[in-house]
Amino acid sequence: MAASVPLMMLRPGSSGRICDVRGCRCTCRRLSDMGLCPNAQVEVMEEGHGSLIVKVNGSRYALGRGMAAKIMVNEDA
Amino acid sequence: MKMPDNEKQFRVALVGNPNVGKSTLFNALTGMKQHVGNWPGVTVEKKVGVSRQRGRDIEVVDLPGMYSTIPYSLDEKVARDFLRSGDSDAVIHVVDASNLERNLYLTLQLLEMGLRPIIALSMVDLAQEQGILLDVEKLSSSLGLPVVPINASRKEGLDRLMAAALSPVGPEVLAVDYDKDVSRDVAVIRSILEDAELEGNREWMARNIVAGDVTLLDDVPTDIRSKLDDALSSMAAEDNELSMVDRRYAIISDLAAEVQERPPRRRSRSDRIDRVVTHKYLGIPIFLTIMWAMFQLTFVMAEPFMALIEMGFEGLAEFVGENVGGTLGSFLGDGIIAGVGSVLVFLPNIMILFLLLAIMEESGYLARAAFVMDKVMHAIGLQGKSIIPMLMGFGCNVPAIMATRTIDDDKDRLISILINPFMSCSARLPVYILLAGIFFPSNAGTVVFALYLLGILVGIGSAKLFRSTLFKGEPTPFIMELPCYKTPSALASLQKMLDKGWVFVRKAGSVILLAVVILWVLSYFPSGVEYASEDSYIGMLGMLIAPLVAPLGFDWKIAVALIFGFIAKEVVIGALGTLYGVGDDSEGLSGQLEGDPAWNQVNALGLMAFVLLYTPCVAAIGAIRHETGSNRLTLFSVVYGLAVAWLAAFLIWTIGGALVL
Repeated sequence: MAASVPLMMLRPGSSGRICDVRGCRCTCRRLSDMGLCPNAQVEVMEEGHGSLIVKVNGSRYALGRGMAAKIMVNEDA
Repeated sequence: MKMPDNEKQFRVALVGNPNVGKSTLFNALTGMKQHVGNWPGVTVEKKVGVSRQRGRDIEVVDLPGMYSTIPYSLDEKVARDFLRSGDSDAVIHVVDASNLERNLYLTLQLLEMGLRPIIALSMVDLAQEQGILLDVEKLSSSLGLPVVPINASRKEGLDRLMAAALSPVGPEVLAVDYDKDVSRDVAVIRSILEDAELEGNREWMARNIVAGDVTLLDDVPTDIRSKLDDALSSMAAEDNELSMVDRRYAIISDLAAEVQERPPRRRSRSDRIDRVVTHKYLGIPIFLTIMWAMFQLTFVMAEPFMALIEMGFEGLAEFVGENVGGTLGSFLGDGIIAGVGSVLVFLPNIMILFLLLAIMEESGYLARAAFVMDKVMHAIGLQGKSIIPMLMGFGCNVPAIMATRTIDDDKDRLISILINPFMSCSARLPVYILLAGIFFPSNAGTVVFALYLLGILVGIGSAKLFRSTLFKGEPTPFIMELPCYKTPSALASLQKMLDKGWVFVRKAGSVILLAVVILWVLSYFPSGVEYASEDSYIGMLGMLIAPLVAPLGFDWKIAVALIFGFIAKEVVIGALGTLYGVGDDSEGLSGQLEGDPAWNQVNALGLMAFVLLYTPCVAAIGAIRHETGSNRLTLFSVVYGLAVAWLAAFLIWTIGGALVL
């Protein structure tokens, strides 16, 4: 398995599986509630300047600058 | 089914994630029979309506959207606590069919609370469009809950839904079970809770506490609380949390695999729109164009309606002038018609502005603005989400200040609150339209646009200042759901527009009317003096404060109008109308001001800037006090606004005076 990378390194159109969420408990829990928990499949739709639009399980989220750096993923081949 | 009980109304609560069509369902169920108030003690909007079903009235409560029963914001806590209180006879859980997994996460949590919700399946057509096949029967039997597909905007499925809500729901089928570590810790917490006198479901409380819900700890007596804290400190909190989340999603993914078939994902319509609208480089220009178009439309579309209202009041003033004389005539003409009439003329602008804001929100674009503007907002020390209350501030600062509640970081939130008054609300628009129309007739639009821009720039500057002094630190990153784009519902948008229009009319008929009556009395007496002259009471008051604003090029009448403007910004116009006694004057307020040598382009511009920047109104001060919870910050906000306004008007008067006059 490839090494995990921060979600922000993924280019639009690529996808990966979340392996770890770094950050305070509060942030982690919120991300889990919204479906961004370990093992979730995430697809990067658009990228702004450090912010991302991602899709998880059919839901679309905007992740502000910094948030995408806290989520570690294994990129799909 | 139980017999209708006239003593106590049957109450149904609507619950669900944000953006699942909950409000659309609420509107479809209750129609015009709804009431918007606040939840006791907090300024979270409480929407209650009445739905007529088979000859009996059902009360419907629309709860704020929530992702989880562990609240993350005040809104979510209000919703959660209502569900906990058992104050509803039935719970309808709106579930987005195109987004089953995430929605079912909340369903499981509701089941854990011991609730037996009725599932209203929304967005069925969207799911079909995406090729999702859903077995509704199977979903219902797996969950052990009634599932009713609905289309709220076409009013389909509502009768079945309400029939289900009025019938008892069957016994529990699906139970959420956790691994042995979690179960052991839950049992420990539960045994501690057994000793406490508590309302409600202890098993659920124990589970949520283990899952990390600290809000519940505040509800228990202090002795129990310290026992809980001790017990929790010896547990592997993070492992428990993760394992509980994992378990829930595992149950959901098994369930989803059974009841739905999903084609491989492809780009949906919303994805294609996002491709352009949230484009890295096109995003910001598109955003600015939309903003610009919004303000243009506000002016252009309102013009004919404004002319009509103006004609109406002119006719009324003429009638009063010809038929009623003496003190009463002056009271009606100079006072009421001049004051309230001058304000009501701007009703069309305000309604159109709110209509456009509603359309922007309904269509799904507003949420995108947070993404598009994230970098810009970061540069000024805020997060992308802060743009939303700023945009709402163009309508009215009061709900905008409340909307900062969705920003979860305290510092980000306080800065957003403090800069919101600089976003030029619709109440200030009448002042600009009037003054820009008189003194800058050929480029009124540009002047008004420049004022909005000035407000934004002052907001940005202040945010940077506060970030580097009062609230040091980095803005926190945010996460926000982006709903699918949809055609805004005409009914919902129009209703919002009418609501806001009605609020404005009521304001004109109450606060503004009262202010102009007081002004008229102070202008008319002591009896015998010339109306609104320097010898009247208002004149004396005005002369007293005039020196404060003399360096800005304002005379005493403007000073009086500004003081009364604290009540509400429209009052500035109403006050000028009354002070100039324009009721039966065919030229109206514009003609009077144009002819008065105390007015010129420079001080008119200064006045507009002053009105833009100083404290919006009492209601906004109240909202700031409520949301910051701090008298000091509230006072600071008022003083800061006044100081900035004074400085801006002073600079305009000094520099402009040197250049032009």
